[in-house]
Amino acid sequence: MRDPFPAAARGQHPQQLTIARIGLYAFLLIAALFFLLPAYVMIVTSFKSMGEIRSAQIFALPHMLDWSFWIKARSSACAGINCNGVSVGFWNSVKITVPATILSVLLGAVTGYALSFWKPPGSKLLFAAITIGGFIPLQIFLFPMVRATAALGLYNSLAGIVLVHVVFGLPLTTLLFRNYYAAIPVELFKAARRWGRLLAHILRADAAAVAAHAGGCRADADDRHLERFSTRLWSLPAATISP
Amino acid sequence: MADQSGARSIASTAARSRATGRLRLPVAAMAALTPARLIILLVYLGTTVWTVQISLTKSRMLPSNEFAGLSQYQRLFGTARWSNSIENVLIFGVVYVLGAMLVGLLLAIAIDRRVRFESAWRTMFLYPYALSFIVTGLMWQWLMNPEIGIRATARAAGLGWFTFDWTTRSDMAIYAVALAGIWQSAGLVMVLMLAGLRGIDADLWRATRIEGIPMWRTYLTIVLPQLGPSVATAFMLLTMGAVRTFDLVVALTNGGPGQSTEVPAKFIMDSLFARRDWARPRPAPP
Repeated sequence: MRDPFPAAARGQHPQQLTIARIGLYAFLLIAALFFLLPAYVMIVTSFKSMGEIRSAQIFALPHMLDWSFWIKARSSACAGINCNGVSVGFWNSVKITVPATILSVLLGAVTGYALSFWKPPGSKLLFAAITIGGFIPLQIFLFPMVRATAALGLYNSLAGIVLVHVVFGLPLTTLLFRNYYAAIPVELFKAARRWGRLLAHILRADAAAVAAHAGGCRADADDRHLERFSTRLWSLPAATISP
Repeated sequence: MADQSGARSIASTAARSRATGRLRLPVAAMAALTPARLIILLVYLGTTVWTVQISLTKSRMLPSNEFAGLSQYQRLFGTARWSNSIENVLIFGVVYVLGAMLVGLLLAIAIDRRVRFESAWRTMFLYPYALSFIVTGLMWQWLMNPEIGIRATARAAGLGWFTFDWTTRSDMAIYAVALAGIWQSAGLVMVLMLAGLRGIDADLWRATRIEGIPMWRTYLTIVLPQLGPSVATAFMLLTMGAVRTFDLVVALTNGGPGQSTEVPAKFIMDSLFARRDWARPRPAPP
């Protein structure tokens, strides 16, 4: 994947190893510790036996690698009535994530583009409505959405879940794309148009970043009600540990 | 007409130069915005109207069309748990949004100062964002559990004075939730800010060095104002997340101790599914 932060445009020139540089790396190291600690605990715990977990030494390394929870998670953990491990949920998650992310990014890119460059009548109102929509807790939509998808015959189907994800991803993707375009000088577009490379060229740079973002959001955009179909993509370690 | 919007519209020249452009552009713009319009109208607005309509009825476990006026709202705001939830989500929102913005900005500035292994740092700070709130909540629940987590480990290592028991104290539990939220979202802010920092002209640094302006002042008075769009985007995304907070609370404290970390979204879920109380008004969108 293309590096979204090209090295050419970096901040200040590098200096010698001064106290400030040492302080900088000390800050980064402390921050890294804070960010890695929970993951360390989760991975270490997943290799411990139940007795070791109960001994309450969460930072200690396991005495020996115990793969039983991983095996259980992979092949025999239960999600609802289905006891084939997380692999079923994992593939469901992929089946939901891939189309939902592609559609979300496309929709956000097109909407954001039209909102920031074409600005047809009413676009300000539309953008305001989309932004406000981003603030509404998803739980409010549950009951009406269940009824609506049922009425459309989409309830309990892959298409229905993808649709729901795209619909509720709209504020986020639109906001990201619109603000991204707003920072691009109009001259760039004019030049690009003159050279015959329209949208696609500029889009490519951003789409990767937003896709990564949208992919991350997919994991928590769904809610308890949909959970039984879409075991979260990243929940593998968690499922491993809960006995 | 589409080209009324002045300097930022790329339409004006194109429309003027070609006679067809004048006709084609509004059609394209309308077509491009049709899905968004439909979603806003049918889903967001439609759902809200529907919800408000239900909230004016006597519905409880089963839908009822009997008009009840504002009595359900009276019932809602008479509920201590609801006002408590509002208060909690405000505290959480302020601490979480400001905290994540500050940490994310500091990380972005640190990374932008030509450090080695840049992509490694970036990955380390961003990976929490790929986790769901449920996983985040679980991990921090262990870490902050005084019996098994950080406190127990510190005490076992001989630091008997060490105390970290926010999740068990009703006056501090909401800050524990905010801490876990900051841990998850700071990386997103970092990425947004870093993109903004990379857009700043390299000549700026040369100029400020020649002028002898201290680094912190350059960041505070010159760089930060230029980051406006990044700051606005990060702020919006974080605030949206804060208002919607649900899974993090469920996994980390489940609203407790007592009701000290109850939030509106959780109240809605509990009313909807645990208590089958459908008409109790959901907070109408602002």
